Amino acid sequence: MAATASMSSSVQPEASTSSGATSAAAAATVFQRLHPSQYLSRFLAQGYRPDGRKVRSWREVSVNVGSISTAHGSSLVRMGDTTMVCGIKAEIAEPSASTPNEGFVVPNIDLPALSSSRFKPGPPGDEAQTYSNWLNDLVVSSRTLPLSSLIIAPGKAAWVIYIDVVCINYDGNAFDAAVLAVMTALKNARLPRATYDDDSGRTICSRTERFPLQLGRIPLSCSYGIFESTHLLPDPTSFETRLLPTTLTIALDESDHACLIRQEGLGGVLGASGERVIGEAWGMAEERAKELRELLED
Amino acid sequence: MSATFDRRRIPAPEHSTPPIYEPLPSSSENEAGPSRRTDRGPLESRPIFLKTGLISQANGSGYIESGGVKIACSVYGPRPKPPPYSPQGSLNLEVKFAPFASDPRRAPLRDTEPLPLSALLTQSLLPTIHLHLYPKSSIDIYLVVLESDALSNVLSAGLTVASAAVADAGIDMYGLGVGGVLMDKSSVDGGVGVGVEEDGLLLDPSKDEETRAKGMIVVGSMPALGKVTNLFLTGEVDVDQAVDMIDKAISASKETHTILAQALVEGAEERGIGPVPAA
Repeated sequence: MAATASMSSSVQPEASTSSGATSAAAAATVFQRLHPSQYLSRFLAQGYRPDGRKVRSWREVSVNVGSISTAHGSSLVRMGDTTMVCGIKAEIAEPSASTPNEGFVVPNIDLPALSSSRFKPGPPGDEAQTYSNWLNDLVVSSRTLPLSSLIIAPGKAAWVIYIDVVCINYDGNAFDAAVLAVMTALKNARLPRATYDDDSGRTICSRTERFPLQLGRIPLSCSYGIFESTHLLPDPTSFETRLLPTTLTIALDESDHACLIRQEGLGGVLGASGERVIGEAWGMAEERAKELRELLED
Repeated sequence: MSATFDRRRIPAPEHSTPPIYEPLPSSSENEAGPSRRTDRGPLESRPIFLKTGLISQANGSGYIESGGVKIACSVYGPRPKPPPYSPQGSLNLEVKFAPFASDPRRAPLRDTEPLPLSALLTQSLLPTIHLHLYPKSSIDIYLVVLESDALSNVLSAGLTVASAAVADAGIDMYGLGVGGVLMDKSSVDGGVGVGVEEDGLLLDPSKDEETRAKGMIVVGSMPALGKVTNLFLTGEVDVDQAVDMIDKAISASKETHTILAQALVEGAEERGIGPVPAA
């Protein structure tokens, strides 16, 4: 009770400054803060999400490629309000003794304190570590960047591709946006032609010749949350994510083969078999991936 | 090496080096001659793009592109601070470089530059904020550098974007803080500047120019009040010239101040807050 009183009094100044329409909006904000899950379920009952889209629809996506000159390849993805920047940096290292014919790929996702009040400054938190691992699984297991294509001289020199994703604005579904950012940045990347000099033992890069990376399968990810075991919600926002005990992520390549499927949390949809839920999500993911792939082609 | 093993990130090979490029053909080096600015005048700064309110999760935010620098900044607060009681608000500022923001790559944990930079920026920004109005609260300012060239430019653009974000968050300020950089290249280039640039001063130096600087000064100021909030001078400059450089940097800051004010008005209008009626 006391909490309710203090909460509404803190919002009061906004409400008192203006007329009826805005005070109704302020009342909605108060309701959203105090009873978030009722707030969401009322929207869903009407067939809409709190951000104005239909229950089964995705947010708009825009991609901006190559805007960071200090990186070998870069991309900025906006998915609704979620903004991700990916930069590719290539360095040279000696291949490890056990795999003399392979280079390295090092993908990392950073969710800095800048992007949302839920993150603290300092080393990567749980969520960032989880996403980094998923991204690593995705890029390595689906052979997006065949490691053998990164070799300069077997056993002597190979490329290390550092893929760093930084979140600028976190409004949910960071993983989908990050995967799209990584794939567009990898397509955008241009590396200098490198030659290994046996006599000096050094690798020298050309200033004029550049080449694109050899890409294998290009997976794109689609994420869902399940609300109150009834609604399958694609592309959840930051507000919705907190209310979704179950999340589902499916990544598909260009021939709609799965590269990664993750379900977190217990639960499914009441009255529907797990098979049906996955099937439904998969079908929606196929359509969404097709849309995203068009952005990838430009 | 293994002592600093980082379990929170995907492991990278223990040692990797940035690409080494073949030497430039010597003839082209001679042809280029001692470099001089061709794209703009010596006391002209590069265009600035500044926008507020792009980070929806934050209380206030700003994004700046100035020359080869791109910085996103967000402000959280004033938010309640845990005890002990403090009569004044506290300001926390953190600068972070994206690993791809500079050449060579900045490996996380090995990068030591952000710390002094954060301290300098805090000092520049501190005098602009009415902290005494926010007891028991903290104001957290985070900057992420997405692309950088010269460090001085990061500092000056950082101050400009941070005060834009603080103002966007609706936090009371004395005035908007603006950064300006001026370098002195007079004797280093062996008198190249004579004739065209009478005193060899350059405003808003690029990375190449900065490496050849004899002395450099970064000025944080509140142009609206005619006050300096922080000075950071490196190199070798005599007193008279330092004063001259400060003057020139401040007058250049006035232009940046106009851009900053304009961006704030546009940001407010986009949010649906109309222009304040004249009293």
